[in-house]
Amino acid sequence: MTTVPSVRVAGTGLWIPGREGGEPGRPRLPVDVSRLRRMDRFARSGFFAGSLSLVEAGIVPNKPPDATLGVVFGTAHGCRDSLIDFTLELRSSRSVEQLSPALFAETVHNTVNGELAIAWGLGGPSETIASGRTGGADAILRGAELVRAGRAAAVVAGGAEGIHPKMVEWWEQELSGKGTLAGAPRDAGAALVLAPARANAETDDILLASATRFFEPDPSEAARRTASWIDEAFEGKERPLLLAATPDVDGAFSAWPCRHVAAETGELYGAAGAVAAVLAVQEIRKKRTGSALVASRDPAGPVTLLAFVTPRRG
Amino acid sequence: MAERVEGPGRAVAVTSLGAVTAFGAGVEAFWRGALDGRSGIAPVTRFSADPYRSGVAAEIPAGSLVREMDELATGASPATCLAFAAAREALKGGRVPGAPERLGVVVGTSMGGNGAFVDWVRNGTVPAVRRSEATLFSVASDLARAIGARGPTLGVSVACASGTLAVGIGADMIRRGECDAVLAGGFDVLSEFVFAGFDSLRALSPSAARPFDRRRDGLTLGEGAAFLLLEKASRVEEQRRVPLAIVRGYGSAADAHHMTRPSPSGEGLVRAVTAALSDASIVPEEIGFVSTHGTGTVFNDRMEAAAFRTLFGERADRLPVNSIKGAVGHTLGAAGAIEALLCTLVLGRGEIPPTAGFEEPDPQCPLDVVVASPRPLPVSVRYVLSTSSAFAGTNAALVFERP
Repeated sequence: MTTVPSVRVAGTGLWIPGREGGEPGRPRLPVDVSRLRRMDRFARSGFFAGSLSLVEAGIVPNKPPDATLGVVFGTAHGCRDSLIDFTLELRSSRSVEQLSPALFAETVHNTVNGELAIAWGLGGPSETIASGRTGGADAILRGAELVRAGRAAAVVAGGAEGIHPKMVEWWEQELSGKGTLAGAPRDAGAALVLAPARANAETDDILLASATRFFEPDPSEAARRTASWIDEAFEGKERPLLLAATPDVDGAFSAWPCRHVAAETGELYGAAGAVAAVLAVQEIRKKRTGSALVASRDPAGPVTLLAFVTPRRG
Repeated sequence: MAERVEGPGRAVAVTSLGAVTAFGAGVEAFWRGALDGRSGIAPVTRFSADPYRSGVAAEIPAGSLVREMDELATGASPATCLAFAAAREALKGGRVPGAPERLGVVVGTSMGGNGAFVDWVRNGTVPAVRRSEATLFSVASDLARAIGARGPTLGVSVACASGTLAVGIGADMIRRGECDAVLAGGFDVLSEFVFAGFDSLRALSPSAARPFDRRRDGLTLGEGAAFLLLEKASRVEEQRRVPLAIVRGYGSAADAHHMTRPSPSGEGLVRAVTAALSDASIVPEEIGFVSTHGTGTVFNDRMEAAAFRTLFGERADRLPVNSIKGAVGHTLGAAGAIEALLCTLVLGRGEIPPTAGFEEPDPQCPLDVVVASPRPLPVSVRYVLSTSSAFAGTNAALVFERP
């Protein structure tokens, strides 16, 4: 059940438009951003977050593409933004000539991978994980596995989501007055650049030291397995700061004192785990804790746990 | 910290298969159709194709999923029924671990369960399925629940390479010691949304896909599902069972070139195959057959031929290749899984199915395309390769070994 990625966080990127604290504005990036106008909300969120993490990691755009640099992104809804727009176009078009091929090209869920790869010359592994609200956390775990296995020297891994108003309408109709959404859905992207852990433990490196994922639709059993894993992973160590990345809609994480990230950010779906991972790294960098555990769960069943530590205090 | 050390080279056995394609439900129906060189391509019945430049697709024959439709009728999407039918067959032949925590699920798809969502956006229709069914991940989670899996459960979605990734990631889970068995595969259902989209790209053949043929003029969409039950090979051996094949290597790579057009030189595909060969610890000379992506579009097939020339040198002229897409269409998220299944059958049964639709060689694709009738796979061949290439520039490859 347990895997130990033992990889280093070499860079972080966070992109949440309209987040409290101000609109982030369009970041200045050392890459061609002319394709931004073609990107939908999902692709833009992931592109900005991934690019910011690559800038922080000191990675420069590569030509020709570098086969040792990989990209793994996770999402719950992927390109639904473009999917809606193309569907509306299909509804109003009288002939196929009126349909936009460029828009259809955006209706795949690996657009963040493609855009980052093109802009930054990432020619290595490219994978997109679509596992609901754990998508971003799963992508980070998968990115760590690729680094650990020597399949890539560095991987930009994270989560992205883009919310079209029609998506909110769909979810609200489902509730049909019987409740409210777990939080205001919003666009978001977050990413880490993961690289092999360095031999020198004297540095301030932050490690993704331990992680696991499993499937457990029963909330109480999900809570039991989560607790059991934390006990095993942190046996004899300082208790980590716990960040619940996803809305705890069925109380699976209610037994512990957690920082509930969704209460601060809104409902971020597949981006949530990656956003919480970036926040966890920030907390460790600010020396507020020596270790942090990011817990992501989708009510459908998947649970993914990521443990970040620093050798300084971990 | 708790620690589990990766098991380098831990072998992964394919022990069972399941498929639903345009040839009907079941692996045997698929294999018979493929060996006969038949084409499942026919006029579209699912929706009116009048507005489009093509009117054909490789649909699953009516009645193939009756049992699943009945059992899952309440709130289940067609995508779920399709995937369940293939998964159910795959689970019959293998042995899942006693501990549910050791069983994983990885499912690749391009559209997932989004069909009901698209219908709602387009027509305002109240979905007949549960809205929670209408997501990218819903089929994977439904499947995990249905089979009692409590290990890692992932959806993967990299367009037309999704099925290949699902098998590769599933195999990695076993190799790392995370699971003893993984149900891995892919599915996608034909929809007007996708049909219209590919037609807007002028990618659909007006007649039928003719992979690698000089007169090829586009792809034909299909629908289907395929699953492979992957198990830890040592466990299979201990239980004195015989694997169908061994998953020896996996690799993926980004083109980093263009969102829809493949790199003309096929350098992304070359990197993916090189990664898979390296993972398998073999050299290109050891590959004895390639199940290609082979969509039948001018650019894709030419790109693949260029990539194979780079990878295999002059040997590309005489290395047997085929494309199953002339027979069962381009099944998007299922394609890579169907082709992984085909590689398993080729190794186990010693025959390479012909490429339906191929008639006239293309000088720009100088490959040894298997045509007209099945070709025996020499017993000396130990390894075969499956390749996929997708929109947004994702390429993936799998290496299978004769058990």
